[in-house]
Amino acid sequence: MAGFIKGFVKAAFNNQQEDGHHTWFGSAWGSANRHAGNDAKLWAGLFTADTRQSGWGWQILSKWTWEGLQTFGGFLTAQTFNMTSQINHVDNSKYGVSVIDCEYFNDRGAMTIGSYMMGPRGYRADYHDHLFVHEFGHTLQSKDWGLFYLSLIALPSITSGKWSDNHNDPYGTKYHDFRWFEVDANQRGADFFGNYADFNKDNFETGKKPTYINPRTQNYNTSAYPLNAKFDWSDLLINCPGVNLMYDIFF
Amino acid sequence: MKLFYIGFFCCLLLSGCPEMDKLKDDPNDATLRIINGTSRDILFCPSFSFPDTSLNMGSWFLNEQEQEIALVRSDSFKDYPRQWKLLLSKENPDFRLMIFLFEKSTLETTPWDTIVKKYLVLKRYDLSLEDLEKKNWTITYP
Repeated sequence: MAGFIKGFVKAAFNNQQEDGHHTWFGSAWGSANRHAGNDAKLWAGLFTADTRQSGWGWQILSKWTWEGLQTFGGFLTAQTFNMTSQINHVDNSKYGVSVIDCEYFNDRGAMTIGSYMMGPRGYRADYHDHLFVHEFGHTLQSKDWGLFYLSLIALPSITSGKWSDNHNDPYGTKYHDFRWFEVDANQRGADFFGNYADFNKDNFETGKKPTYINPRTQNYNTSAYPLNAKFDWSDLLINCPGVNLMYDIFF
Repeated sequence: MKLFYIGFFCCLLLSGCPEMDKLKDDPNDATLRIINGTSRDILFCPSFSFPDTSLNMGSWFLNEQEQEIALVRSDSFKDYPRQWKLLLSKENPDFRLMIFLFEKSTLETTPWDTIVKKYLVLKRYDLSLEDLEKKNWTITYP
C-alpha cells in the first residue's frame, strides 16, 4: 500500500510519464502499480530459494539467520531504491535471488547485498550477462561467510574500490579486479554456471572468444573476470579490520 | 521500530556498503554489414574459435531469439554493430574471424547433429581485422 501511494504521488508531482500512459492520472496510476508490484516482489524475495537445489527450506532459514544481516540490509536498500529511484523490474524466479533492474545503476555498475542484486537497465538473472555471473558469486560468498560477510568481504571490497579510485585505476583492473574476494566471487559464479552447457568460462575469464550475446547489452561480453588473484602490498591495508574502515572514513 | 531501522542503517554504514562493481561494457567500434544477394533467407553466425573451424556454436545458435538476430532475409542486408575491432585486437595477428552462413531452410529441416557432421554450411569466411577493413566491413553473399 505504501509503495502504491508513494508511486502515485511521485508520478503525479514529478509529471513523470509512465509507459503507455498519456495523462497525469494514467501515469500516476501506472507508477503506483509498478511501485506496489516491486514492493511485493521485494518482500517475496525474503522467502525465495533455488528450488532446483536440495534443501530449499534451509536456504530460506539461512537467509533469515546466518545471512540475516545482509538479507535485511539488501532488502532495505532495495526498498530505498524503490522509493527514491525507478525500479523497472524485479525477478525472483531463478537461483533464489532477487535481481533488480534499476535506473539508478545505468552507467554505474551493479551492487549485491546478500541475495538482493541491483544492476542497470535490462539486468536479469541470465548467465549470458557476465556481470550477473560475477555478482551472483557475491551471493554465494554471502551464503558461506554469513555473519562475517559484511566485515570480511564487503568492507574490504568497498575499501578496495576506493583505493583503486584514489590510484587512478580505471575500472579497478589493476587492483580491485585481482583482490582475493573479487576473484573468489568470479570463481564461485563460474563454477556454478559451469554446469550449464553453453556458459563460456574462457570468455568470462579473458573477455576473448565470445560465443553468445549478452541480452542486457545486446553485445558480446568483452570484460575479463579473472580467476586467479594477484597480491599487492595494499592488500595488507584493504584486508586489515579497522584499518580499512578508517581508510574509508578519512580518504 | 524507528530506532531499530536507524540503528540498523548506522550499523550498515559503519560496516561499509557492499561494493559497487563498475560497469565495463565496451561500446561498439564497427558495424559489420551482411548483404544477402540471393532469393533465399540465410543465417549469419560469427565465430571466434579460429583455428578450430568446426561448428561448435551448438545449442546457443539454435536458440529461437538468436536465430531471429542471425536472420538475413533474401535480397536484403542486415547490420551488426559490435565490438569487432576490440575483440580482434585481443587476438594474435594470425587470428581470423570466422563468418558462417547457413541456409535457413537447412536449419529448419535438418537436425543440428547432421549439419555439424556433414558441415552443411553455405559459405565460411575467415577474415582478419585487416581483411575486414579492406572490405569496408561489408560481406556480400554470394
